[in-house]
Amino acid sequence: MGNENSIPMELCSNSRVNCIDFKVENFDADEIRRLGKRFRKLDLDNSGALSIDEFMSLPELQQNPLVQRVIDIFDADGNGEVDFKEFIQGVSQFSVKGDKLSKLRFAFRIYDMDNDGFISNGELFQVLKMMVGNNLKDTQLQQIVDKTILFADKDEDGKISFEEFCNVVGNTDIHKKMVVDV
Amino acid sequence: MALIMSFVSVAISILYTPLLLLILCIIFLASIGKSLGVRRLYVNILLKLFEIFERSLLICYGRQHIEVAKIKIQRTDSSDEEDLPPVPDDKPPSAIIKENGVNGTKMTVIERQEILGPSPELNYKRSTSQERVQNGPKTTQGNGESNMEFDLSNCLDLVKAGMESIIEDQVTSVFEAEELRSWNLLTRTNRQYEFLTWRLTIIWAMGFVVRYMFLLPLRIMIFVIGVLVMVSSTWVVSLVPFVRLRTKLGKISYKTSIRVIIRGLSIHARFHNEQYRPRANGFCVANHTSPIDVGVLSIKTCFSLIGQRHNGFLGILQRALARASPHIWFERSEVKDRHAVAKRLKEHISVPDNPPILIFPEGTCINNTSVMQFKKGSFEVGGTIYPVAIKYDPRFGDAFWNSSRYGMLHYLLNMMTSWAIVCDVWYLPAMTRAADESAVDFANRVKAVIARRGGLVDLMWDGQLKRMKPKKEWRELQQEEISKRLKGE
Repeated sequence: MGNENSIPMELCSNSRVNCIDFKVENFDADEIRRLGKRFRKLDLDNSGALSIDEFMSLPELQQNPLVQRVIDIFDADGNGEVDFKEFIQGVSQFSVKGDKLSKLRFAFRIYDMDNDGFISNGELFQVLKMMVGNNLKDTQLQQIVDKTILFADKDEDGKISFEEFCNVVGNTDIHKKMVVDV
Repeated sequence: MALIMSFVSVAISILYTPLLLLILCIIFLASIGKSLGVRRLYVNILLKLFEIFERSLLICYGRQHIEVAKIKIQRTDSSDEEDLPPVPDDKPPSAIIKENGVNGTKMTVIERQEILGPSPELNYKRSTSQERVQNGPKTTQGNGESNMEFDLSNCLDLVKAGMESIIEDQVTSVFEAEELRSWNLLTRTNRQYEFLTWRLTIIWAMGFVVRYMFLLPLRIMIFVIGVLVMVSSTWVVSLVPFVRLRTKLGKISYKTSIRVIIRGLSIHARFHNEQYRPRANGFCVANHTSPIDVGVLSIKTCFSLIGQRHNGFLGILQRALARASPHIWFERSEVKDRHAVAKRLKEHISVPDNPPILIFPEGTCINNTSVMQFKKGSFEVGGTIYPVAIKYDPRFGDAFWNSSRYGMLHYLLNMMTSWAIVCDVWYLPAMTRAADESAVDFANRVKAVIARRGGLVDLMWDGQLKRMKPKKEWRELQQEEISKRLKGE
């Protein structure tokens, strides 16, 4: 379905972007070029990778409570920085051509902080805390967390698996909500 | 070498008289504020040229790009319509953005989500993306109200908004030159097309010769004469002993010299709704793209200018202007003192004979696609506000002054080597602050009116972000909003 394109060579030559020849499914050459341009603009120190501070230099992003989680998911190898490959792969999950499953997986990873395949009570609490800050009491928040888990947790192991997550979220318009024009 | 020299000297001796006459003619016409329509003709010819270029681009572009090029053609079509006043009067203000329950400086992700159009809308389609703001679904809000508790999908909007700002954000993009979708044969604006085909390269080279060999020297000469006229005429005016006569002459010298300087920068301004032109004392408030704004508005009206004292070239102009008419220049140390500024403004306003004060409340130059937060200072003082919207046509040359990238003289050079600086100026009906309105609300109201008329995106962001780091409080406001939604408020 997705037309496959390798990263155009110009990207590799005129920037220090560390790009090995890899295939990107959801983008055409033009989109990759634009994303490359964006990447270079965000990469303030020209290191070839985006640090948290570089992401945070965007005021709009800075005010987004979940930005830390999004960057964490981008950073697939967990080295604290997002290189161009990770950048493209992260963005590609939001492509119109991206499949529903990978979008759901991205959403799941927002809550699954330690990436063990389950959303635990503590993880959900932490993410919610990020979203609301100090505006709700911890007890209130804990109630919400318990309620949400109770509702989603069908096999009653006290945590939410990906499958259970999909059962709850899968019927929402994920195709609309997780699509971004590149 | 000697041959070239002799050729040049012959050319100069032949061209000397006509050129001199031309310059004198231009300056004379400029100083009385008349136009023969030459510039209008020139602008129209350029438009035709760009169109031809567009078409040849379509022919010589590779197959895979044909679609892209087609879109470009469509875009030029729609941009032609832009020449008409772009926004019909009955359209609700773009400031509807505020409806989503925003207070003050805050800009919530949800609004952002809908403002952000797909990137092809970069050029002229800003106003349509604003329409979508009004009609678009308010998904998140609906969600929050219908079920009072948390749903695992609640985070999706935040995540999406985050992704959108990663791919294209509104704030940093307004501090960079607007990207043109079609090339206007200036290398500056788009390097990608420069050596596409031989034919285009030749056209470009011819344009280069015209711009640098003919227009640039002519413009520099007119500009220099304009500056000299300003400095000398203000000096003469300052010697006049009678106050009333001096004020009158000051106004004349201000307008005349600015008109000449403006010709030197090749500005072609089209004024609309002149019945609303500021006449009495008060504040004239406009969106800010470059220092040229001052000149453009001064073609028709004499203003009192306000600003920081500069050194160098701008300093010379400032001192000259201050001699003849009441302008307000601050020392660097004074600017921080808001009370002192407010006091000076009040003093100025209280004299009915003084010309209106020209203020750019954004406090920084923006690339003419958007309007950013208006500082409340000038809205607190009172008095009538005369809003003015200025929209430059980027096809002929980008007027945006990216002050962090170019110095003043470099910028002026860029302007003089552009095809022209074409802009539309809309005078808007005078506004006054309502009795129960705060200065911030009033500032936002004025901003919305300007944004709507000029076809600009109405942003809440503070223009000082150009130099400052964002504040932490914004995230807290965001979190407050989310928790309200969770509680079902």
